[in-house]
Amino acid sequence: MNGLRFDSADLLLIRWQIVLFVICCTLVTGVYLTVGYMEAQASQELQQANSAFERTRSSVELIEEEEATIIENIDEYRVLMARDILEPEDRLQFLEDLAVIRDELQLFPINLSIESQFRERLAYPQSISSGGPIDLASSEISLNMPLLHEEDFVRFFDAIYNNGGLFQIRECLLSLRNSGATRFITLQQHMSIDCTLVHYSYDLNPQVEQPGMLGANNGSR
Amino acid sequence: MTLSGQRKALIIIVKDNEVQILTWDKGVLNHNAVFAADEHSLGVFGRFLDNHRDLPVIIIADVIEESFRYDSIAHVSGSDRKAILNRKMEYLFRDTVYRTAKIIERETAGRRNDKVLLSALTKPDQLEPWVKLVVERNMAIQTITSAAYVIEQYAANRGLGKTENLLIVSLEKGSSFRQTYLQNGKVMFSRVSRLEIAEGTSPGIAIRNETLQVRKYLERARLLRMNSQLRFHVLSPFEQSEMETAFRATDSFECLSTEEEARHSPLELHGNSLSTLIVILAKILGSKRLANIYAPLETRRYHVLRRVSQGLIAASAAMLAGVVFMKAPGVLDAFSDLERAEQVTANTAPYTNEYETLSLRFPETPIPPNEMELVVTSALKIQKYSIEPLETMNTIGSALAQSSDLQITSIAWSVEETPPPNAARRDPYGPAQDQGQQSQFRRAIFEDRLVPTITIQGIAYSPRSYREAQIQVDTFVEALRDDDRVDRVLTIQLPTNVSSDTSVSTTVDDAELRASFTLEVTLKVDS
Repeated sequence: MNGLRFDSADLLLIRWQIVLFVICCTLVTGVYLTVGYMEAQASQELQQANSAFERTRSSVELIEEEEATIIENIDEYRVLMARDILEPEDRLQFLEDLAVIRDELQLFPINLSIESQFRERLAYPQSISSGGPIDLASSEISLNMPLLHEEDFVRFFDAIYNNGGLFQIRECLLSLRNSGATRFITLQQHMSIDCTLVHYSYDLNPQVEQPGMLGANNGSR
Repeated sequence: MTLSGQRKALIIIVKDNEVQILTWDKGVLNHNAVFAADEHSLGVFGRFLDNHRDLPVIIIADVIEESFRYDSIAHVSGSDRKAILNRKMEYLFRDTVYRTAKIIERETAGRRNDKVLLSALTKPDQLEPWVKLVVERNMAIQTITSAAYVIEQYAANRGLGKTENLLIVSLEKGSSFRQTYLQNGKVMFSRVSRLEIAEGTSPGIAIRNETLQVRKYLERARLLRMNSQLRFHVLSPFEQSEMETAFRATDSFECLSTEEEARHSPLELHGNSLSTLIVILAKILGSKRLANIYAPLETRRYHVLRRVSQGLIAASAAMLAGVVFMKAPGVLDAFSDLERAEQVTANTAPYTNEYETLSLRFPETPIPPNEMELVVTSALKIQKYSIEPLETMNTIGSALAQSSDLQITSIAWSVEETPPPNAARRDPYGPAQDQGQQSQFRRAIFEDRLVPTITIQGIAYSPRSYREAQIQVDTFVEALRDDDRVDRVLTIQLPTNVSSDTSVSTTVDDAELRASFTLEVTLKVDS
């Protein structure tokens, strides 16, 4: 509008149009923002609903898997509990039990040495979902003793295995003391055993440390 | 009516002796009133305006006092051209604000200046009282133009805009006689005179004679080249055939009857108000707005305000339409999302119920299930490689029953490690780094790399021959192999193996032959 200037009286003539324009601007801005907010809220609500659905479905699947896992393992786990495998190693009790076994089986003296305990954290394999830390502790027990008869050997290990705890024979040698002997009526030390056993126990509530550090210490507790 | 046509308008035709008022509405031109062009009519005119304040106003000056001048200016542009043209107008038409200037063409020779047409309504007093009354009422003056420029638009509307030389002759009933010369569709000259028809002369011949005079004038003024073709377009209240007879000798012509044209135009006239200019207006308003020629900007203030007002309304409507257009899909999407969310929530409910049911019946567990599984599976792995002395003694005893002359001197149990298939493979149950002998042994357990082995040493007795001792050992080996718990039996040493790379020890006496043997038995491992 070159050379044409409007004064307030002119603007008053189109005041309602200006008011309408301002209202429309406000309305349009309001609608724009409101619809944008509404879109975001609806999208968020949908995402939340989808997440809740996935979460619930996963929870159902997880609880079903957990239930199946428990049903599958609970009996064996109870056996492990009953055999004190899930308890910390009690060497004093082991020696006591060994003395009782020897006494009951009327065995010759037993030479025994227990190495320091080795402890290592179990890692969860891919087939098992990760859980809390569990340490597997093991102690090597070396023992040797003379035997009257090989039956003593069988009964001794039977008693050890049934006494409780998880034992594994790593190596064991049963040998005749006198390979030329043909008569075993005499009550004497006809045989001897020299064995190395491993006694395993679990620590279900270990200190939360790095497995590497535990392995590096490699000592008993 | 086209989109570019006039929608509504109050049209004021100012003539030398009267002022005609017309309204254009809904594509029809209505003749409303006629006022004498004097001061007494102004009051009535003002009251008339009060009833039509919302209409945009078009003022058409159909007066004698319109001047057309030609000049040339240096070929400049922008503000320089504007300044030169203003200066020219100020020089030529100092006494009137109703003036205009436009570049017609550029000269082809010499300094190649721009040729300019300057025109003005040289007697502004004829318009100003009427214009003043309109402006006082804040009415929007859209256009102030003249009959000559209306005829220019009419020519364009009739498809005559490209005619090189065109003379439009319009005759009113009161013998007001206007001749407008257009060159390539642009008005170059227009003159109003009275048509004097001599006795015994037909109106057509009289008009024809008048046009010959105008032609001579145009040729003298060098607006029209000598002997160039001039096309005539005649609008008159006379019979069309009579006019055609008069113009038959000309190069090119068309004669139209005003009354005939009025019948085919959107007109509602009262009384004796029909005029050629009104017919022309009715012809062009439906398809084109009348361009402003003479109204200065200040006079058009309320028209500009009106356009601003219309612009604001249009912008408001466009914004509303735009936001609806832009955001309607968003609203639909939002509702769709909400609907889907409701559906998903409804689909979640059965799972929630199932979860609650499963939670209620969930068995009591001392430790989390995954920890339990880890403990149980690792313990079973260890137990898998735990040799049962009773079982192996039974196996050996059963096998030995068929070879009574054999004496076992030692039995050695061991769990042997086999080398890992891939040394770099990660231990699934323990750390990868070497933790010593126990760690390696443990890793071998979890990687199923242990083989339970029994090494049996004994002595074969035979009172007669080594062969019998050999047979007894073979029988013992076969019996061991037949046992389900035995995987493999390897003969390390036999009584009769006397090859140079083995050792043989025996007691040779009177009673019997004695020879040692060694067997390695590999036990089966439950898978």
